[in-house]
Amino acid sequence: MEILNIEDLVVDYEVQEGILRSVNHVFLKVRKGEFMAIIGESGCGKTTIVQAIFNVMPSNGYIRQGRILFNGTDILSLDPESQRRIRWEKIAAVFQAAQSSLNPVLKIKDQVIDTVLDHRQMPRVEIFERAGKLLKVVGLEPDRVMNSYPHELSGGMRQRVVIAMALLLDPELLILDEPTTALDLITQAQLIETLQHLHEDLSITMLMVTHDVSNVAKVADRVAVMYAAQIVEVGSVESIFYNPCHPYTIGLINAIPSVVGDLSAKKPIPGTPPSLINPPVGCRFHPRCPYASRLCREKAPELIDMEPDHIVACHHRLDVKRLQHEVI
Amino acid sequence: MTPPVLQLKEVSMVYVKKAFLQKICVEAVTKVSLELRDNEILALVGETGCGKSTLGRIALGLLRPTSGKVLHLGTDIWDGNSRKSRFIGQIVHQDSYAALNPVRTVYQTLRAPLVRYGTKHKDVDEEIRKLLEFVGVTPPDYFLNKYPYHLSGGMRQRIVFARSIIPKPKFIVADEPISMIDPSLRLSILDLMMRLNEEFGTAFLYITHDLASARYLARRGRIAVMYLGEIVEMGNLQEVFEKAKHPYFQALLSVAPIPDPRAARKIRPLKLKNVELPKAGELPSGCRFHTRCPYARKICTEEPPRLREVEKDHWVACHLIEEVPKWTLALER
Repeated sequence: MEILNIEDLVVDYEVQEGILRSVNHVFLKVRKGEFMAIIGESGCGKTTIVQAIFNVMPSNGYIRQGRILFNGTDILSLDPESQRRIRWEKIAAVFQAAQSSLNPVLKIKDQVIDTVLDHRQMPRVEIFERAGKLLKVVGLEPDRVMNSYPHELSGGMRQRVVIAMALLLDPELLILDEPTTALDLITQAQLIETLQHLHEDLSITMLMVTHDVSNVAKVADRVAVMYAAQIVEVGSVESIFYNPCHPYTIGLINAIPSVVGDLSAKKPIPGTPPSLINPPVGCRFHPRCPYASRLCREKAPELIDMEPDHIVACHHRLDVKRLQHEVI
Repeated sequence: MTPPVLQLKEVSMVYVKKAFLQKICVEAVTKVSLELRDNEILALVGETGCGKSTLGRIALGLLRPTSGKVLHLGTDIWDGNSRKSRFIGQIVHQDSYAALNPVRTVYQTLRAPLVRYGTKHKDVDEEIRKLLEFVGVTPPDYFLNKYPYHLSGGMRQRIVFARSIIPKPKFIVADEPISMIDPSLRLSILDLMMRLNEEFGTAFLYITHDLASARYLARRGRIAVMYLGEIVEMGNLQEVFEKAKHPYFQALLSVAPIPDPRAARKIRPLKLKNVELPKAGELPSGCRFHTRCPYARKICTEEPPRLREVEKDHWVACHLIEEVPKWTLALER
C-alpha cells in the first residue's frame, strides 16, 4: 500500500541565468509504515521534492507537471483550504534547521496550543496531556520544556520539540529534511534513536531527506538515490548498500569514510556535480562515470527493474558489477 | 634533533564577555600541551564548542593565549610584547567562499602571494599553472580567469589550498575544510592534503568533528580528542581508535555513523548519564566529563585527572582507566 505516490513530478526555478530544473520527472512511492530515505548531494533537488509535497514553493519555484497522490488523492489539485488541512494533520514535516523554526517570543506551550487549535477544537487540558506524552516520547521532560522559551533549550532539544509538535495531530506521514545537520554527534545519535523508536512504536511512516549516507544506513528501510534532479536508484537499504547497481551509488558509498573497516579502497568520485541549468545530455552522470559509453552520452536511461523492489536508471546496469573489477 | 614545528605548552584561553554590569569569563581552552612534529598529520577532534578552533588559532598565533607558550620551531612567538612574524603556519577555513576575495580571479588570487614570496614576474604564469595542476584544478587555463562564484565548493577549497602552500609553510591548520563540500568530493580534498603532506612535507593540524574523516586523513598520524577545553585522549591514531580508553571518546566512537547497514545496526550507543553539554562558563569540577560519564565516581567530581601515558604514545586523562570496560569496535564485515 502506498501512502504517498509521486508521479512524474517536474519542478522549475526561474533564476537569473535561466530555468533551473530542480526536479526532473521524478517517480517515487512511499509505502505505509516504512522508513524511506532520499539521499543525494546538495542541490540535487531533494529538498524541492519536500517543498512540492507541501506545495510551499519559494516565489520563483513552479511545479510544472506531475501528481502527488496522498492515499490516492492528488494533493496539488485540491483547493488551498483542503491542502492546508492535510498539512500537519495528515502529513507533518520537520524542515531543515528546525531548531530555528520555533517562535522565539512564545513559550513552547503557547506554540503547542496554537498549533492544535488552528486545526481542531480541543480543551487545553487535553492538549497539554497529549503534548506531554509526545515530549516524553522524544525524550524530554514535559514540565520543564513546556514552560520554556526556545532560547532556553539546546539545539538538540529544540529539534526534538519540533518533532513532538509535528506529531501533535497524529499525522500519517512524517517528513524529515536533513534532521541531523547542525547537531553534535551525540545529540545526532540520540535523535536518530528517537526517530527509530517513533517509527517502530507509533508505526508512523517516515520520509527522510538527507545527504548523510551513514545515518541512512542505520535507520532506513528503503532508499532512493538522487543525482542531478533525477532518481537514479531505488531499493531496500540492503540492496543499495551491498548490491548497488548505479555507478553513482557505487561511487557515493565508496566515498564515505568510516570509523571501522578498511579505508584503502575508499576513493572520491571524480569531477563535480553538474549545473542544473545546463545539465549534461543523455545520462546526467556520464561526465563522471567510469563506464560511460556513446549510448550514455546520447540517450537518458530510464528506471528499470533489476530485481524485485530494486530499480536502476543505467544503460550498463547489468555490466557494471563485472566492469567494476576491471576498471579498478 | 630539530625542535617540533609547533609546540603548545600549557596553553589556556579565557574569553571575557562583557554583559550588563558584569563580566562573564568563558574558559575555552585549559592548559593544553601539544606537539606537532615535522611532516606529521595530527587530527584534533571534538564536538562544537570544545575549544578546538580556538586552539587552532592559538597555534598559528592569530590569538594570544591568556597563559602558556606557543613555540614555532622552538622559538616562542609571543616572546616580548608583539607577535614575532614567522610565517611558518597557514590556515584553511571551513568556508572557502568567504576565504577568497570575490572580485579577484583565480589568477589574481594566486599571483599576489607568489610575487610577495619572491617568484620572478616572468615565472609567475608558469608557477600558477603548476600549482593549479598540482591541486587538481585542471585544465589550468580554463580556470585562470574564473571568479570564486564560478567555481564549486570543492574547486574553491583547492584554490585555497594552492594559495596556502605558496609561502612554503611548515604546517597548515585546516579547520573543518570539508564540512561544506559535497560528500562525494570530500575524500578528494583529504587526498589533496595527504599529497601536500607527502610532496612538500607540510605538517597538518586537522580540526574536525568528523571522526571517520580524521581516521582517513591521519591514518599514519596522531589524534587528539578534546572535551570542554581539555585534551582527554591523545596518541597514535590507529592505537587510539582500536583501544579507545576515555569514556568520552568511547561514547563518540559508539555513535559515529558507519555507512554499512548491518554494522551500523549492531552497535549500541554508549549510554551517557546526561546528553546535554554543561553550559559554557559553568565548567564542572574535577573531571569535566563526570556530569555525563556513566562510570563516574566520587574522585572524578573532586580531582581533575591528568593526561598520562598508558601505553606507548597513547595518553589518557581519566581516573578510572583500569575500570572502564575495554573498547571493541572490531566488527566483522
